[in-house]
Formats: sequence, C-alpha cells, structure tokens
Amino acid sequence: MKFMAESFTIYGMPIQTANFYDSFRYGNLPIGVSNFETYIKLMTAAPELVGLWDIDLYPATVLEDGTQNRYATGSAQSSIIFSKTTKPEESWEFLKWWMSTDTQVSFQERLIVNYGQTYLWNSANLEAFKLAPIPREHKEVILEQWQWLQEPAKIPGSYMQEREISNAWNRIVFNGVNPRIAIDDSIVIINREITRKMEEFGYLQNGVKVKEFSVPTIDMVRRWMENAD
Amino acid sequence: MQTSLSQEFELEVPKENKRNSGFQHWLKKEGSAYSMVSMYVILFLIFIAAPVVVAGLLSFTNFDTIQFPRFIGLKNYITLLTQDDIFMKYVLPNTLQFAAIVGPGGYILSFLLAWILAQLPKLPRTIFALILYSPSMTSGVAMAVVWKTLFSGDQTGYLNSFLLGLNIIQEPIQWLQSPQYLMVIMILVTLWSSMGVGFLAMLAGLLDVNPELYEAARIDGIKNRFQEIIYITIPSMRPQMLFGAVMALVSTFQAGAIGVVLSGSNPTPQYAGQLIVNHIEDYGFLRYEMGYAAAVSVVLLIMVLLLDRLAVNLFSSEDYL
Repeated sequence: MKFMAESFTIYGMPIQTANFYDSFRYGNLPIGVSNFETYIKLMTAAPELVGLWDIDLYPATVLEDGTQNRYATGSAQSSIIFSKTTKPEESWEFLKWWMSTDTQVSFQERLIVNYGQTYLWNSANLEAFKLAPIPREHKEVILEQWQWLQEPAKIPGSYMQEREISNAWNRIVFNGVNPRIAIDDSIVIINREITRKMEEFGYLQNGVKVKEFSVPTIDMVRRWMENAD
Repeated sequence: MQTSLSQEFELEVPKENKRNSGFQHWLKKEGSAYSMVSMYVILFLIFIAAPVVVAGLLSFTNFDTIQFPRFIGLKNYITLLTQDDIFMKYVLPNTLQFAAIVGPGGYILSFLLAWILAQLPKLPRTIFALILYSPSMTSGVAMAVVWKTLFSGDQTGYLNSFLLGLNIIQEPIQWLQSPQYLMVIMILVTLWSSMGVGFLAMLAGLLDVNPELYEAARIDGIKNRFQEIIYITIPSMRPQMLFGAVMALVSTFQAGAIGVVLSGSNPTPQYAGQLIVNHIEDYGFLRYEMGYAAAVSVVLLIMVLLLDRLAVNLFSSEDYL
C-alpha cells in the first residue's frame, strides 16, 4: 500500500494515463504494468514497434530475508459444477474434454484462422499455452510468472476489500492521510462487512461462530490438485 | 314514401334499444375508447405498476436472488435509518446537494434559455433549439468523446494541459478521481445535458402566450420585461411549467450512472459521486441484498412523490389539474 501510494505522491508517477497503448506507441511512457489485452494490442496493432519492445516479470517486493515475492493475480474465468446436478459424471467428462490439450489447441487455432491474430486464446491449460503462436521469449516469461499466480481468498464480503483498498489509496493520495491511519479505517469497514455477510450465510450468529468457514489458501488449492485424479 | 320510411325507421330503433342490455350499450358508446387505451394500460400495469408493488413487497423481506425471499418486517427500514453509515454520510448529502443544484438550477436554466429563444425569429430559433436540445440526446457519446478527454487526469487532458501551460498548476489535477472535484463535474455535466423535453415544452408554452396580454399589460403600466415575465408569462404557461418541473425532478433523482461513467469505477472513489440510485444498485447488484435495495428504492419513491406534490401545488391551476 505504501509503495502504491508513494509512487504517486512522492515519486511523481502519472496518476492516470488516458490510454497506455497510445502513450507507449508515441513514446511518452517507456514502461508500464498492464494486462493481456494491452499485450495483444501491442503485438497486433503496433507494427512499427515490432522487435523493439519486450515483456518481463512483475516487479517484486523484496522481503527482509532477501526473497522476492512476485505474487500477482491472473484468473479470469472458471468452470463450476453444481452439487445438485443430475449428471455429475457427464459434467466432469465434459469439463475434462474441454480443458484437454487437444481441444484447447484446436479451439485456439480455429479462432485465429477465422478471426485473426487479435483473437489469441489465453488457455489455462499449460500444455496448450506452450503451443500458442507467440514468440518463445515471451512464452518463457509468462510461464515463469505463472508460477507466482495467487488470488486473494474470496470470502463473503470480500468485494468490500477491493473497494476499501481503492478508497484508502484515494484518501492517501488526494487527502494526504497517513497510510497507516487510512488502512486502519479501511480494515474496520472491511471487517464489519465480512461479519454482516457471515451472519447472513449462517456462519456467525449474534457474533458467535457457529460454523467453520474454510478460507481457501494456496496450500489448500495445491492439496486439492494432488488429490484429484 | 318518406313518411313510411321514417315510420319504418322509427319502428326499428325502439326495438334495438330494448334488445340492448346496459353493458352492450356502454360498449357501443365507450368500448372503442377503452380498447384503444387498453394497450397502454396493459403495458403500464406490467412494466410500471407491478414492479412498484413487487418492490414494495420485497422491501419487507430478505432476498438474495437465489433463495425465496424471507419476510423480516420493517428491519430493512430500521437498518437504513440507523446502521447504514454510507447512506447517511455520503449518499444522502450527495443526493440532496446534487438535486438542489441540478433540479432548480436546470429548471431555471431551461426556462431562461427558452425565454431567450422565444424572442428570436423563427429560423435562428429552430437552429438554436436543436443545438440546445441535442446534449440531452447524445449524452452517451458526448461523455466518451468530450467530457472524459476534457477532464482527463494525465497531462494531456485538455483542461490539464491548458492550466499547465498557463502555469496555474504544476502537476495534472485528477479531476475525475479526486473527491473534491468529481461532484462539481457531475453537476456541470448534468446541467449541460438537462435541456430535454421540459425545455421544448416550455418553449412551446412561451410561444403560445397570447400577445394581447402583453399589450394590455403595457397599457396597465408594466415597466420592464422582468415584471412581464413574473406577472404574465409564467402564469400563462402553468401546464408547461408543471411538466418541466416534473421531468426535471424525476431525471434529477434518477441520475446515477453519470458518476460511474465519469470516474470509471463503481462505486465512485470514496463515494464522492454516490447518489441514491448508485446506492440501490450497490446493494442490489454488487451485494445481492435485494430486499434492502428495494427498501431504499421505496424511500426514493416517497421522496420523489413528496416533491412532486410540492411542484403540483406550486404550478397547477384549477382549470387544468
């Protein structure tokens, strides 16, 4: 949070750019942190820049013991099978077929053949992604960054977290509030919202924990992956 | 010959009258009128009356769009008044400030511009009326092309580069992200696009005022045009004034999307542009608490109804309403 706020208040990074893609092409902004959409735009719609630019890993925060944390979010879509379905086996077979390498690769190829290079399909299947039609150096960077994929745990009421982080940043940058105070205020609000939602879903009752809510952590996800077939 | 025909005729008519029951008689007289109105009435009932009733019913329940609504009585309203601090700290003051400036302000602006236009000859008047009316139609396109580039936060935004060039500021000002300026900009943009149907109605009303009244007034001793407006023009166009007032009122309280579109985030940063419609959408679509959102919307409905009564008392005369 401090880094995010200080880069704008003290280090003078431009707070808003109307269009990074345009500014990059004109040479106004030499470097930026952006998403897949900007990548595709620069790859396909900036022919004068071919070979003159490159991508790299996310900037890392260096912890006290010297390790570098490059965690970043990256999930877009997911699939879900409802537990009350009458066809669980078929749904699972369908999802396995859809996410299999062959299907993903042929879907990717068909999209590009029919609609052009801008329809690059960013497959979640790592094997299929390795066969995507982008330069090998970029692929290596992306695959390495993929190791550092982590999403914030989604619990009932977590929309407040994103909103309050935004509001706290706004308070720090525009109202000059001390970061610690801004974050403290936000934490109170986020906690209150999470409590409200937990009460609504029956995990808390009048402030007393009734049911255990398992917060999905990255170790839990890894365990699920190992226990699957 | 004629008399026999008329005699036949006279014999026919009473027979028919006896055969008609009361209902068929009514049907013949007013049936066609009702059948023509029925189309509108059906659509009104389905799309306007029924949702209002359902919203009223839902406001007494806890509804998360997946499970069946659970009846909880007045708890939503009590929560709204006592526990919702976003509503009390940001939404209500923002809405009242926005409505107080845009409502009467836009209305007076519409009236003044309509009055100025009424003084012009026909061709310039038509052209200017079109120019003034078009922002209310094109507000979506204008938003993307005009306002966002004018108030863009980086140094290439028009306002920023102008002020930077004059050395009035040293760094680009974040017009649309800062809580101080967002409200002002929202008010400005809404005022600009508020010359809508109400404006056209007032223009029509102004052109309709009997010119003999003006001559009579001048004979009676009216000294300047300002007195003319107050004593003659406004009283003569009361129905149009009422229509303009109701349109301005409704559109002011319905404005909510403007903050979201200008700032690019929903809800607006630090709730600076959060109006009551945004609050309803927040609770309804982001937090999935439909019962609470319905309660807030009922409160909005009551507010608009009260102000509407006020406008009607102010403007209607016995002949029309």
